[in-house]
Amino acid sequence: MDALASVGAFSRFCVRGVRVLPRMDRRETLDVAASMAFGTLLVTLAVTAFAGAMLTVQGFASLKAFGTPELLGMFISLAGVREVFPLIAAGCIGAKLGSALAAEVATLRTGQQLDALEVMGIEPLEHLLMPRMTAATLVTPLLAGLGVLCGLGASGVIATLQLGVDPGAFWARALDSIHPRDIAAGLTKALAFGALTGSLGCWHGYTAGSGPWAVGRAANLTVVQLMVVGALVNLLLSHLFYGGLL
Amino acid sequence: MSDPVIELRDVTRRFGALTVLDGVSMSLLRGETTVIVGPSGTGKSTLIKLLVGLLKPDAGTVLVDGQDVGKLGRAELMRLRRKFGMLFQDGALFHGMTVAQNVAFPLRHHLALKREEEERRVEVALQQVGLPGLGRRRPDELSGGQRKRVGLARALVMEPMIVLFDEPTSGLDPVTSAAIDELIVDTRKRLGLTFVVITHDVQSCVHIADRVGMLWEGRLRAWGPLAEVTASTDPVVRQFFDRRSDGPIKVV
Repeated sequence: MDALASVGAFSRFCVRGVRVLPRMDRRETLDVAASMAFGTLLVTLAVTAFAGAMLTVQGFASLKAFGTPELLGMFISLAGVREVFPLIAAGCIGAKLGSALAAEVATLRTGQQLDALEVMGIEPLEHLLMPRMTAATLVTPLLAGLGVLCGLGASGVIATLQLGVDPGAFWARALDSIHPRDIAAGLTKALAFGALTGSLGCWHGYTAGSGPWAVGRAANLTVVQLMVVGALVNLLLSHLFYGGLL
Repeated sequence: MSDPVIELRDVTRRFGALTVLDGVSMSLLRGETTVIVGPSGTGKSTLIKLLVGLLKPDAGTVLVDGQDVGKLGRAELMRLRRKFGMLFQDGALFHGMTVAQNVAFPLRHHLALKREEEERRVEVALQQVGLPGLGRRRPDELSGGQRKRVGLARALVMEPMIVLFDEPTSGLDPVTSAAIDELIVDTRKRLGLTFVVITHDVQSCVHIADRVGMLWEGRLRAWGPLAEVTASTDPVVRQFFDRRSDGPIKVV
């Protein structure tokens, strides 16, 4: 029952957020988005590059065993671009951005700055929370897109320079296997994950208790729930785009 | 006699099974400093949150300047809150901003002032709390007492009708506490505002209060002018004001 009540309260919080969207502090949104993008870019690129390299080495070994190493480009597109790179990028964004967001808002809660805003007659949703939720929603597709490109690039480098795959064949098969539907699916997933990151981070920060432990708990809850709910949303959207539902 | 600016009528507030305030009634007069005292955990913070609508009463009515706080919609409540300034325990300053930006924060959100006018009002507010010229500092560079003064400057900058103080001397050394008490007395005299202070600091209470309410176990145990309450023979009130550990108030 408690979990159900929490979901209900979180939903009401999100609806209140959407309602204040027209009055949201746009300048704050842009400032926060820039800070989020620069703060999360490097770790996202690094991890997706390593994931691309790993996937290429594993994929090449498996395809070679079946006598079809020339299909590596197609494999990287299907497995990497569609699922692995976006998921890895989402994991980085969730861990870095979601936890930072929850910790920031929870610190404002424990330090009474959120109460101070309310008492000053300033709506925290308009000036603090919605700018962060919106910024996370907008920045995540950008970061995930760059992460996918970085993963693909790292695959190309490892395939051609280390594993000796013909560059022309690799890139032709890789690019031929990417369809507009993949881009639409990736964008939708990234937007959904960004919205989840922003809303869960702000929610757990906003509802944090008092004391230093509340900050750590808010960050922890955000990351754990993002992993679970994010994976579920990814599965549902994959079904929607690739499972014949759309 | 002044008219009441805040009235609590039979206010009850519970948190789950715990009744924190139980049928509390009081009238806070315009232009007076009312101090609410009581041991820790007796509902002082809950009471101050009820005044500004951060909490709603489970029963009873909280009237501020004639408006029923518990029945206001979100937009009306936000408008009512502009009548308040509040000093939080540790100042509740924004650490990413300078002192001047912190003090200017409510001005920027509510009034479209020209930059010169905004700077003038911020400087006046900082002068009122004895911190002229400190606008460029960051909250991290200030002492605990200075942070409270900046918090008070921010509370005063919108020229509120009522100023709330949440434990204004907690965590301060005796000399700084005395200086904050002087500041409260002096500011109230100069500006003629209504002050509501919650504290468990007996010395501070005696120094600044016109009227005192003592909460104990969620009920209003004593209420009246300072001299009347401090002269009370009620064993609970006596134990608290005499700062004794033996008596009906048990240390938990």
